[in-house]
Amino acid sequence: MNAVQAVPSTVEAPKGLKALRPRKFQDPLLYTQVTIPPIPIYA
Amino acid sequence: MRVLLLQPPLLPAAEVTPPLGLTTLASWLMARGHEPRILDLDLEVRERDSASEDRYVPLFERALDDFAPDVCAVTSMYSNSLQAEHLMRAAKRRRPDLVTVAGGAHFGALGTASLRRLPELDFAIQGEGEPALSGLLDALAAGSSWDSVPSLCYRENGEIRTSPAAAQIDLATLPPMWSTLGEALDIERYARTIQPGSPRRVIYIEAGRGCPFACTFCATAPFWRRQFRVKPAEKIVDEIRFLHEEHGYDSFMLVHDLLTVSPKFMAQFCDAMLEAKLPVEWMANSRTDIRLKGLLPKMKAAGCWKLFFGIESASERIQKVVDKHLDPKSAETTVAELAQHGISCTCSFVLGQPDERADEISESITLGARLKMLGADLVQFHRLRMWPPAPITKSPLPVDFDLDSLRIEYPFVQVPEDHVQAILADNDFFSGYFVPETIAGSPAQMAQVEMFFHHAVSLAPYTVAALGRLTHGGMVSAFYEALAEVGPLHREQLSWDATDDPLANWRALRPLFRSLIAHADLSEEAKALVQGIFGYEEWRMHFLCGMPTPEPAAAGGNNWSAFLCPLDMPQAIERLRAGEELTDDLLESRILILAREASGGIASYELDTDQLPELTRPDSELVRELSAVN
Repeated sequence: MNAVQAVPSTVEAPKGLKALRPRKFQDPLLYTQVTIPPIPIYA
Repeated sequence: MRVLLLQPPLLPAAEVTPPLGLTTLASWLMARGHEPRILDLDLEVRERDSASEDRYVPLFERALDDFAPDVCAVTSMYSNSLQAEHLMRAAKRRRPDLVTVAGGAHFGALGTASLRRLPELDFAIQGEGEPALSGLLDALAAGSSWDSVPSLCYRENGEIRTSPAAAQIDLATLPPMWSTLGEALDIERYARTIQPGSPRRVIYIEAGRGCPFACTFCATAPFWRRQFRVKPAEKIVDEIRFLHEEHGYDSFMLVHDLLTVSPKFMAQFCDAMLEAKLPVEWMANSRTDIRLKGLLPKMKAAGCWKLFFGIESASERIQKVVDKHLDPKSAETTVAELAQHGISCTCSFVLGQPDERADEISESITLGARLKMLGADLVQFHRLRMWPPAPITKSPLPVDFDLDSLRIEYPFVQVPEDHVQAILADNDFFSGYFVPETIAGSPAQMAQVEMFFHHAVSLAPYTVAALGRLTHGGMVSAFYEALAEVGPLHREQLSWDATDDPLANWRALRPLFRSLIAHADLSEEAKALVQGIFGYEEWRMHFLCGMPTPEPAAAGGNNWSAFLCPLDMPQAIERLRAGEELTDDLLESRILILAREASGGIASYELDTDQLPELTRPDSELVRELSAVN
């Protein structure tokens, strides 16, 4: 898979999981594009 | 006069944008009654691994036969100068009567040296090309003397002479660019190189010239005599409108060394863009200490999606040494502010100043990783190179030729041996291919630092930031120990194409990464923290790419994965982003869950470890629910 770009969830957690009272877990890097940095050029 | 404007192979790639310098020259010459035609060998030969002389010289010869120019003018950025020389030789072989001219960054900085090196070259233009080339063509057409043409290097009675430099042009007097090119350049051929489905249709356009700063490593500021000039905002918007409406481009790189140095101009440009109501975006070069905060909402509304920053170093001492005088702390504030406004950025560092220490390079890499965490799209590490007329090229410094460093930007995947020999034979002319010696490491070590951390910061910024913070400047020294243990990373192991699979690069980096962590001078607890962060980033990366991790996760299904994280990673992320200490109290295990929805959304949950059995029991209701997330 190339140049992956995920977005935050828009649906509720499954009921069974909610019952376990999951805490908030945030990682902004989940939602930045995963891609190979190109050959560095000065621009 | 019929003039063939020639772009030698520079960086053959799948998507090609028109060569901006030559395009500007072409419109300038057409407005003065000449007949230019651009031959862009990056467009003609788009595969980097097959851009050999056998391939591009025949294409050039065919263009000479077809167009039958009176003059052939070649441009060059440092890494394609030898290709430019081959083309000039081929030109004189095929057409001894043809007048040959060279200009651009390299020949334009070293005009007399160019004529001395290359008997087949008749003229070199130093500095700004437009008035000199049109003046020369006028003189040739009239059969008159060219000694009054400005900025020109030429031969006379066996001597090389240089005419006085031209006054720099008022960019408002440039003719309309793209709409007037006619047969000089087929823009549609470039537009067709954009891959179907590509998220951006990108093209470079010139916004202006000249940066007023005096950084010692910078070649372009002195090239334009440090005089800040811009095109009128309306003129830039007209170019954007034409390229969008006629050719479908929607993303514009506003080429200028430091466009935002005039916030007044930026405000005018944004107003003009807002008024134009074009569905396009743009990016520009800036400094992190230019305060744009009040302008950012307007810039975003006007289509700004990204800024480029040269940070260069996290060390205040090095900032002074290189005459940049940037407060490195401004970088974090500015990148975070941009992220709040939905504007991305590229941050670039220059590593290996002669008296730069390994611990200072560690700090720069650590800052780079933090900037990536705070919202930078790309973080680049470049080794210091000696490109004339940069001020640093005026000082005699011990230098080393480093083939590996050259290969990163050479037009070919393998630099041909005869090119290497030609470069070694004239290190004054080819000083850009040499790197100054630095106390931070040997050339081989520095090449590895450049290559490894370029990718490592992109793929695992938390790990790099944590290592940098916890080793207090010792990260690069530990990296050298890892290199000695694992061996060097080879360029062939890595993909440099943004459209390839990033996991291949992860696999290439992994042994060095693990050895680097093992060799870092850390307490047992600190090492456990870094190893845990690395494990988390490996898991995140593989999950996002839809692949199982090398070390299996605690539980998982088709669309979800649970990772038994040996530290409180959510808290570690907060501390890393806030620039706070990573302490042993973070060593509390957590279960982290990622679940992918059909819409592309990613849900992330955190649980206590005693809830792991719920995730591993095959008949668990929870497992059934997670597998059904969509």
